[in-house]
Amino acid sequence: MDDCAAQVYAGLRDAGHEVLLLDDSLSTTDLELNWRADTDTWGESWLGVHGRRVRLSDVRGILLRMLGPLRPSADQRPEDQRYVLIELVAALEGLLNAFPGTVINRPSPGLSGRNVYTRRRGAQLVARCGFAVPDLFALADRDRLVADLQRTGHPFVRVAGLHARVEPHIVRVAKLDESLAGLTGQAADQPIYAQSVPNGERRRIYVAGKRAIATGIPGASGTSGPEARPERAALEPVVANAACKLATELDLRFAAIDLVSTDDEQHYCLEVNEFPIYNHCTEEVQAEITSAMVEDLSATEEVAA
Amino acid sequence: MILMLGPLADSGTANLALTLTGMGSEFIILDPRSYGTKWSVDWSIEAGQFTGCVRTPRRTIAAEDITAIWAHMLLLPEHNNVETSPERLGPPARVASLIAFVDAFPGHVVNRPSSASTNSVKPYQARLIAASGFPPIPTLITTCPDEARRFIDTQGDVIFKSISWYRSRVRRVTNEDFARLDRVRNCPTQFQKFVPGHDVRVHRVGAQLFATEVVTTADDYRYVPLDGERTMTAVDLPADVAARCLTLADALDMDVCGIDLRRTPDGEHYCFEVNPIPGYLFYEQYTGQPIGETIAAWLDKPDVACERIRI
Repeated sequence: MDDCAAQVYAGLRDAGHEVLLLDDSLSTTDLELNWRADTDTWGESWLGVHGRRVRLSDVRGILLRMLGPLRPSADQRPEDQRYVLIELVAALEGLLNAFPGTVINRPSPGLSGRNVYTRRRGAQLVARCGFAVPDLFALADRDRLVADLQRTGHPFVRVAGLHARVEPHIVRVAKLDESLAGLTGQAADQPIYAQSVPNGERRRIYVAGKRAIATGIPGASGTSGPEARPERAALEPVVANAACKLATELDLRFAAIDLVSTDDEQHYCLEVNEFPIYNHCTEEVQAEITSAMVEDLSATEEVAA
Repeated sequence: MILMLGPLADSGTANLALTLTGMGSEFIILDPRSYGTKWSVDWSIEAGQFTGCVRTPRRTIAAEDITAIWAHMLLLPEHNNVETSPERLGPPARVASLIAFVDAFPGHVVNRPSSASTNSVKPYQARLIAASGFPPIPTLITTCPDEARRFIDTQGDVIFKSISWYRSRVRRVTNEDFARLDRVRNCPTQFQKFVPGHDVRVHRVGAQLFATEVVTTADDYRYVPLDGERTMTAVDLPADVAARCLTLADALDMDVCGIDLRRTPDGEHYCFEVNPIPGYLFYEQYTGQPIGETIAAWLDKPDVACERIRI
């Protein structure tokens, strides 16, 4: 089970809440679903597993940490397995967007996990929330990419995949060639998505419910090697507000926003991660994020039956 | 310059290319299947300004010279790996970068992948349809045979169809189907109250609507049996229905789309879905409506102002 789900599960149980856990040990045919999709009442709709059914009008909140990793049923032909999985994902995406209680986070049909800057008006949205937008490049020509990045004058570059298939990492522009040579498989074939990173303090802002919690970022020094566990960092109210506003605009109740804050108080938004992990942070940070999500999941008013 | 992305095997894309040629419009057509091997796109946002280009072996086209993009079938069946690993359900990385370019492009796009994707989750799109003023249709999505039986008993005539982008033939539940409802345990299935009446397919092109009424004996007019009947006629929509169609298409950010309506005997209009890749030629050949010409003209000179990213 995902660590985030495990911590929130434990937190909800400790707070006295009843929790139904659907995890990756289930197959597509283990999950039972009944949804009256045309109404705003939820008394006739339920989710079930192994004979236990929960009416959705009795559900206050849903934490989604996976969508799809249910095992296909071994009894089905491969083409049927694929069809069933696609239909099940579509049903759940529809349900999770319609459900009126808290959902962390509602999935975007077909496009979950994409980069904030590839959304239509994504850069404008980030700027409107108060962040600076770094120069970014999606180029197939690597020589041109290096030349363009050198032109920006910023010392670092953040390399990532457009759909999260390249592990994001920050390197010095001078070492970019070396870094790109290390990409293999599909990642080596696709255009490189790179952001120029100015000098400044690098932080990750976790937005969980109504709270914003800042930490340092592993590898923030721009050098390789073991790093200490990210601990709580200072967070100015104006940045906290901007982070919460951006998460809200993106309909994310849990998000991690990577920032670089320069000496002239520009806060560059490098990325908004809609599926963040935090089990690498200090115990204190983990506890605070978990607590914020437990609070958010418990806070929903009654769902109409 | 119009950038057309789509295989020429797609009749709608091929017809548009011919029409644009006849109009003397400047366009380039590129096949998404050869993206990354025969042509590529580069783009960037520098100082808040979107710039980019399309590179082919013979020429490079600057993004600022592209007035509109026709994006059809960026994801083809060969892109869909048959593996059932969830990671495989998303687009391959190579195509993902093309999708990102088309989504981020600040000019006109028919249609952005992010807009088109609403059609891949039918109950999600149904909520947006209801929010645009069309009456909701009683719908049950279930893996429970007893609930399916109860819904059918309560609603009377009921059809079933896919939930996702998978194309399925819409059929009314028959006595034979009723007897095999236990099979829904294997796969969530969408049941919907049958709406009586005539189908009306509405093509939206910019500010214009082309409505085609389909009278048929079949549950799904796309699949009429040999002994069945189908007539298709160009019709005018009531003003309030036309307004709802435009509101809906705007909400979905689709300048060109096919809206599936059904007009009941008492004159109510229900909406089933909005197709971002409408097969307009099928309707045009029966009614003579100039849908393709209008799409071509719109791509050549969109009737709404073009936006450019400037932060």
